[in-house]
Amino acid sequence: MDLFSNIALGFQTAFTAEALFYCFLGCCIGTFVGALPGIGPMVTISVALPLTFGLDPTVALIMLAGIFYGAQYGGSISSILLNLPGTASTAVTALDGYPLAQSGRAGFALFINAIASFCGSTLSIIVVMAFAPAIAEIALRFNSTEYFAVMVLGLVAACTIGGGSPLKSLVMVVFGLILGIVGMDINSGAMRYTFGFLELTDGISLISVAMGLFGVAEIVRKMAGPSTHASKTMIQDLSLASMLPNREDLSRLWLPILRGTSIGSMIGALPGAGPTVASFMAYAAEKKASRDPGRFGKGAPEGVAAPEAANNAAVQAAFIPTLSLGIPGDVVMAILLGAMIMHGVIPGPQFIANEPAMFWGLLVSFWIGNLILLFLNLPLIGLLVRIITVPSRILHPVVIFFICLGSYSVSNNIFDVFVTLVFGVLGYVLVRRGFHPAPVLLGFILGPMMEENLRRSLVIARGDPSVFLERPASAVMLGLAFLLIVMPLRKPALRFLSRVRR
Amino acid sequence: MLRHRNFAHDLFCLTIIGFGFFVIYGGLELSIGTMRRIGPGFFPLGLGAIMAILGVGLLFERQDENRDDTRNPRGLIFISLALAAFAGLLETLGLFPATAAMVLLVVAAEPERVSLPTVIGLIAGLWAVGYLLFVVVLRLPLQPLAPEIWTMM
Repeated sequence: MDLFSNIALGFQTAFTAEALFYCFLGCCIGTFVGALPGIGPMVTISVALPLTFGLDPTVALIMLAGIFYGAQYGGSISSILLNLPGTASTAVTALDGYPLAQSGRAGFALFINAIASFCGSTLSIIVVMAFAPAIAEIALRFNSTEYFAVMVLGLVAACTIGGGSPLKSLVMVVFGLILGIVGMDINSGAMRYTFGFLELTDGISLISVAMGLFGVAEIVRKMAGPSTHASKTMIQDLSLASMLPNREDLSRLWLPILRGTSIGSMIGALPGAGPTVASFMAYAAEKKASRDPGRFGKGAPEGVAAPEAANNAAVQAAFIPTLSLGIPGDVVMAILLGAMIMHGVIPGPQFIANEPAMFWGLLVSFWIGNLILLFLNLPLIGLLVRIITVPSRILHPVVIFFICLGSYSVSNNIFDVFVTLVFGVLGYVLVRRGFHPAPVLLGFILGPMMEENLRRSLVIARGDPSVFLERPASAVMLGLAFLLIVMPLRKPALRFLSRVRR
Repeated sequence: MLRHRNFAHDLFCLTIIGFGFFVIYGGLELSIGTMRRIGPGFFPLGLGAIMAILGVGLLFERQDENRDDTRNPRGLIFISLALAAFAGLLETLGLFPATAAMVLLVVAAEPERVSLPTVIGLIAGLWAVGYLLFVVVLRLPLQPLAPEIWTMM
């Protein structure tokens, strides 16, 4: 099958009334929660996931993915109008978007945001269409040995590339892997770390882990900060006419958009470096490329266009490792992967071959979704602004309510609400101690698959662990993982050695 | 060679090491199996060991000073109580009492006072959402008010 017949197949799937409706719904919800400072796409997808259990898996994924990329559009709205990023990946947008809004060009800034986001996404989807099937094809030749090595590399890369302390991230990944063990072992039937709780037989609920670590903990932290009362000053004239750029602006913006898109698609495909890193890098690159870097931070349109193109491109590109290898690059992808598993779809290299309608339908729905978002964002700005200005004292109980019922509804069990509570407290403590809990979810999702592939590899190799180094592809990947761990340790180790010698 | 030590950090590292050993202990209770056929305890054993080693490594890691210092013990306690109250009341008294208790506790967690009409509006709104979305549309096996309440009265 060639690309065009595949895309045609995708259109067939994505153009049903049901798929279109849920795509629209997902994009709307995503825009709203993205715009609200404090609730990210991650919590929203966790809450929405149990609500999609009754849907067809493809439609469910179309909607959940719509929330994710919709949130990128929405997040920049509060960045531009309130100087308060709705999601982390749009923080850079505020640097130049807010000054633009202050100087009375809020409509123009929002327009650039929408256009740059749209271009970044749509171009990046083409990259996904080209690369994901090709990578999956290669990965199909992997056996469990290589697959185990890919997962080790993916997890290590996620810990070391994104910035922050790699050691702390590794602790979080291993913690996630350990959480993934809890429950009944599928091979022996032995109960592992369930401490007599029958509710843990099927393992800890992904939704509870995600909503506790991120939702509950985040609200507790938000309450301590300044309350988010949006000033109404920025919300002046937001008519469609005020948004349209002139010809000169447009000719100055297409290069930054293209640069942002290419940075975003490359960074987004790497594990561990999601849209946030991509947007920061695109902004830095744009500043370097500019003839007049002094304008940045004072309302340069390029400073909105490049990072917005980059973070949206990165969001789409993150689907490459997720859909072609079954390895999530970041937390939101981990939850989407969890959603696939809960809907009975087996992720991995065989996914594209086994479920072509689902894969291509999903990709085409991204195109449709971005088109919806482009047209949704511009005229609905006024409504969105009113929603952003909902005070946090109303928002917090509503979010906790959805977290409670969301975790309950996974298996209609109050035990899961208590699990969410435990992870909420844990998430708070971890962040207090400087640990970012995002890698926990990556480990949690990949843990069971890693163990299974390790077991199989050892069975095939008749118990000889050197098989991981004898097979070339596996050896290369484990070597890379080793390098990634050792590189950041080099400096502290040298420091330690010199101190010991003295 | 004196170095400024962060007591809370060291304690946390020791907790991580302790957790690693706890996982190792749990793995040893299960069967390790052989290399040719690994048992249910093999993978946890390895992870516990890695966890303990990483914890030791963290003891020697230099801590950056400019980390986020948001503290909110009061919020943590009240939000935890809100979740616990919701979970505890949901199947005993019903969805409505559980929602009301949860809203009151979340509001109590806020640093600022929330006006009474806002609280009532929140509870009423969430009752409507909870009933329509979760009971009617999604058909969760929940009752707005548990029948036991009526027999109690």
